[in-house]
Amino acid sequence: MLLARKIGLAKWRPHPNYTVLNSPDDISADAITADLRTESRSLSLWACASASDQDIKDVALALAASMERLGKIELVLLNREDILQGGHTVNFTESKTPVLDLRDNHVDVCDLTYQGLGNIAHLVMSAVRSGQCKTVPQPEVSNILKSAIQQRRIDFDKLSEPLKRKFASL
Amino acid sequence: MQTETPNYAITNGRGSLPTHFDYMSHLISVYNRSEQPAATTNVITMFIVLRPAFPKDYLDFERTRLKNSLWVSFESGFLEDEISHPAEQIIASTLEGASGDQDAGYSRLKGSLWLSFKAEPLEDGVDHLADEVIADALQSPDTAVLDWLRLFALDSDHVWFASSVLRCLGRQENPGSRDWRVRLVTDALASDELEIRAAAVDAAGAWLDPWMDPDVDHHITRVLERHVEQDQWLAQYIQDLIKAVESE
Repeated sequence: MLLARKIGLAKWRPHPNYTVLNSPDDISADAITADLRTESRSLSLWACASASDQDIKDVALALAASMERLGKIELVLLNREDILQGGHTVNFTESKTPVLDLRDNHVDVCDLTYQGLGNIAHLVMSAVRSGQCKTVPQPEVSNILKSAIQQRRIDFDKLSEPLKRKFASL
Repeated sequence: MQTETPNYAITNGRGSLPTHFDYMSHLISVYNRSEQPAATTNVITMFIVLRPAFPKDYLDFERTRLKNSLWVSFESGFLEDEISHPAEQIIASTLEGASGDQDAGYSRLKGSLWLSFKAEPLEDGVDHLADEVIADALQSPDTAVLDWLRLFALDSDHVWFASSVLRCLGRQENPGSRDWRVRLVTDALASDELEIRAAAVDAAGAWLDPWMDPDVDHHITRVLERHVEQDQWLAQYIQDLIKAVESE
């Protein structure tokens, strides 16, 4: 099983100027503070069975439906086994995404500490560098949302006001 | 303290910026320091955020209820002189690389954007202060605004600022004319800076989204197709974007 998280890919890519980082394997602090924010020591991820187009689209949908505005979505895909082998606890937790049939796909990596978050960060970095990531461009995000609304998979009232205005004609 | 028509922005957090704030029957206006002979004249904007602060009387207006004061100045010395009290936690920013351009509108716009991006990075799918700053600027009848925004978006001396402006422009609904948008994407893709080229692709992707503009102009698609990208990751993103647009 894969666990996906929305990140800003550019922050995780190898930096061309290694004087900025201590070594090529180092990770920018901005990447960690911006993309691995925890809440109550838990990191939010989305489960997907595989990296197939449909599974990626479902993750993108779950995230897009909770966004304040349209935009691209960049995902990193982590192996659940790698996280478990790091001694972390992974629990399925219900999400408040407006996509009704995806609410049970949400997971939390729990009880994270400084060291634990560092371990996760290295997993993210490795995944990005080995190409286990995907960018869903904005037009595709819009199409995914549009299809889901038409298929009545989304609680429309739970979308942000800008998204409601955009898709009001559907 | 002057009581001229306010020209400032005040925020108490993320989200929209009210254009006027009337606090305790006081009008807090742009604090023009030109009457202060010992001080710089280049303080252009002051953002005021609400929370209790340590009372100060070294400035000429009531600040006992101010949260943070965000000062922007062309001269770092001015900031160092004024921002000396740690209890108040004033956030200061010097306009690095400010050209000294005397055009007040240019300076205000650049300062507002600079400060907003410094305060918080732009994130996909998340509202940002700069969205409203640029939206308001685009409402201006001054045709120079588009020239200024273009300059900001192509400023390779300040890549973080340029890419932020360009991505933020992508979040606007049809800024400028179609030709203007096509030229901007074309010129940004010609930049030596990967971050600016990536921001150009982000902006192009937003302008190619039929849910932003039902009458999508595929000249931008042609620009993307003609572009030869050396960075493998960005080249893949461009291919994915073209594929997403052409599959609609």
